[in-house]
Amino acid sequence: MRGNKPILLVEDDQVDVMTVQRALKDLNVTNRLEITGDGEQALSFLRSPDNSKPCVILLDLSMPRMNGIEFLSVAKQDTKFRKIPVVVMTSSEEEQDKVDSFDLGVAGYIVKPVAYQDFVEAMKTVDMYWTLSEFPQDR
Amino acid sequence: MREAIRKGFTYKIIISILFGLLGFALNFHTINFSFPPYVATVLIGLIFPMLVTFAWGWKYGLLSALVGGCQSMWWVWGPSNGYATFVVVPPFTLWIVWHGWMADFRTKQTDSKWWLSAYAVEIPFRILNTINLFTLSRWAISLNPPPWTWASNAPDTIPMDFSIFVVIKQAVVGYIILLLADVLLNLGFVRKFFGLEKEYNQVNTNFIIRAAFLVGAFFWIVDSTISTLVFQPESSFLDSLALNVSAHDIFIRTVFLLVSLAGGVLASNLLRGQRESDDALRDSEERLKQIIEGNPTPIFVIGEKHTITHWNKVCENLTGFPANEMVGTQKQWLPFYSEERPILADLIMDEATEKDISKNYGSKYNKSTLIKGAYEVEDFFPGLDDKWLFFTAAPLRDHHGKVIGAIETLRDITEIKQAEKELKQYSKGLEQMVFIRTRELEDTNQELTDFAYVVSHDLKAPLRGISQLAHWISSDYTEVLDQDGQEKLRLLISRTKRMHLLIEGILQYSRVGRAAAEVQSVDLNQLVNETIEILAPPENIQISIENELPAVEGMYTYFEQVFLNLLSNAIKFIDKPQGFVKIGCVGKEDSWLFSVADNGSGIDEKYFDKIFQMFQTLAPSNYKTESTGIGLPLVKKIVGLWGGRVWLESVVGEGSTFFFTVPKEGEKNERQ
Repeated sequence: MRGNKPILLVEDDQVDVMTVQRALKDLNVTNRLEITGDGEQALSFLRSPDNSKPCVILLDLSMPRMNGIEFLSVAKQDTKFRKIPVVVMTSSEEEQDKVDSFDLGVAGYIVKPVAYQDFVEAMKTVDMYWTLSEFPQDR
Repeated sequence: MREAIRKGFTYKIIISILFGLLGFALNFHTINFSFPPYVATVLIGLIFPMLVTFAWGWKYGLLSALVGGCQSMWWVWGPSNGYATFVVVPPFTLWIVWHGWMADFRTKQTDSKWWLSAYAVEIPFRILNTINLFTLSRWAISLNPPPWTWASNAPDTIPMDFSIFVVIKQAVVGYIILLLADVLLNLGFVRKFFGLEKEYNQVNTNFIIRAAFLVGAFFWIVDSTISTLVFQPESSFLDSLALNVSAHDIFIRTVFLLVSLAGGVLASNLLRGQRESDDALRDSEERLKQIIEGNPTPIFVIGEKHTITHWNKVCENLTGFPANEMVGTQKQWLPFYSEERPILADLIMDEATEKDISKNYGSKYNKSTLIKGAYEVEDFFPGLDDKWLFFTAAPLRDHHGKVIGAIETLRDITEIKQAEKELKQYSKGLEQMVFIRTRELEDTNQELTDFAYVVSHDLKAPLRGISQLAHWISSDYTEVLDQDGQEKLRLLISRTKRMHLLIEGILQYSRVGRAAAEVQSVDLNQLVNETIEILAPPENIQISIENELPAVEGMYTYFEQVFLNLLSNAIKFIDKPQGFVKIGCVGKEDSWLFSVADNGSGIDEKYFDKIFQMFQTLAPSNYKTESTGIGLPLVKKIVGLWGGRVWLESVVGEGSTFFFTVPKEGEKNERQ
């Protein structure tokens, strides 16, 4: 990813976390991966002044306490976080989830592939895109 | 008992014979009227066979006549007529038979006709007899004298005057006999004697005929008295009464007596007719009253000047107004309205136009479909205990067709109205109930679909985890795992793949009817061609569209899934070096019939039901076909959703043909 800002992963499933970690390692992505287990934790991470703002948020939708959609509706209200691109990574193929996500201004929506190799391919594309894409300066 | 005897066969025969003999005897005592130079002999004995023939018909009349009633003339006239006796005497028997036959004929008639009366039918007989007397008789006379001695003095010629005299005499005597027989048969005791039914109003008839006879007899006595006292003071009263009366006087008195009797019969007949029709009228009025009174429907009738003529018992009950207060008045409005106004019967009687009727009843009236000229109204009567009435008024006409009254029947339909109202409420409630239940059912169905969806969806996440972990163990621990361990991990991963396919299948299946998509016009030619492209069949399999496919209204994805599944199945099961799949379509009256035929392995008929059930697959479980058994159930669900049907025909080893129908416009039942 462009720059050295961290990537924020919002995901409650440990294997999925491992998958992302492994894929990023396999792809030689150097950005640090910050991991939060649900929407609330992710918000408190973002709000904490100690943490630097992430360049991309990888967001799962089904999570305990505060799910992905709820997180989006809070985060996208906040002018400080609104510009951070969010890529939804979920197992849901529900049309409604897609509609809700894009209504809340997500940058992408990826259905988690079953095979690890396919997942690596998906992550590769995400990395390539956000390496290529420019970000606004003031973040 | 005595009545029965009088009607009996033996009684009739005995009386017939007896009367015949009486007539025979009496005919020798002729009543002679002197008309110089001739003498008119009246054969009064003929009355006996005539009574029999009138009472019992021609058979008994003939018997009576043959036994003797008409036979005395052989002796009376034989010597003076010679050969002519043979043509003069038999007509009397014929005369009796003729009148008996006509009497039989009269009793079979329902109503009396004047031209069938004895006096009328006498005319043709009289004409024939007259012709006989002028021709045959005179010719027979001319043959005289006959060889037998007792008639040897019979003349061989008679003057024409005499023939005319005989004709007139016979006609007069004939009518006298008829009249007397008629008179006697009008009398009660004579009728009883012959076992005949009493005449209508027999007492009056008896009285009139007796009176007529008395008038005749009275004249006879008065005439005798006057003769004795005034014209022939030397003769005694008895002489002038009967013993020594001039022929002329006898004639006058007899004529007067006969005229009296004829008048009596005529008068009693006329009176009887009058009485009969009067009584019939009274009877029919009484019957009408009973019909109306005995009818369980409230009825009232108005007649001349709109006056009530009938107001039956149930009408009293319905209105609360007794007949004795209503009949004879014009207050028919009273039970129904608070102020005087014309009611339906009045309007009908006045032959009111529909405009007039609607002025009084608005749009609540209808022309009766059953009764000509009648109208019906259904109305609410707050003044009559809040009753609903359905009433019909029909005109009453005389025989000229002129309206002379009206009949109105009423029906209390309050309970029906109430029931109707309740039924309406009930059905409304029922509709609501059905609506709620349907909603509940739909909700439950939806919940079930959602449940299947959510469950299968949530199963995917851990499955993915298992798959990936197995993958990593396989790749990260290559050195630690031996060949056997590696193989087991490969099997584990392949099983997760299969489970994933199954879950995908369930998801797809439960998504049908769940996903919201637009109904659009789908060009099936294009769709099928695209589907074939996606499937990319191997070169040895040829897929062809047999005839041009229609454009149909529906959801694109559904048609795509149906063709995708049917075609991929067809391709999958082709086991021959040269395979073909043929797609066809036939337009039926209200649907399209599609077919997908292949020359694959075919399906045994016993599996026809099974293959449409979820997860039922006929492929061996080597996982090579990646068959999940979801394709055909999915097709069935989609086709069912739009109201179609899917089935197949197949011959094992030769191939299968799948059919499905798509209803034409407006009949698809796609749930959104």
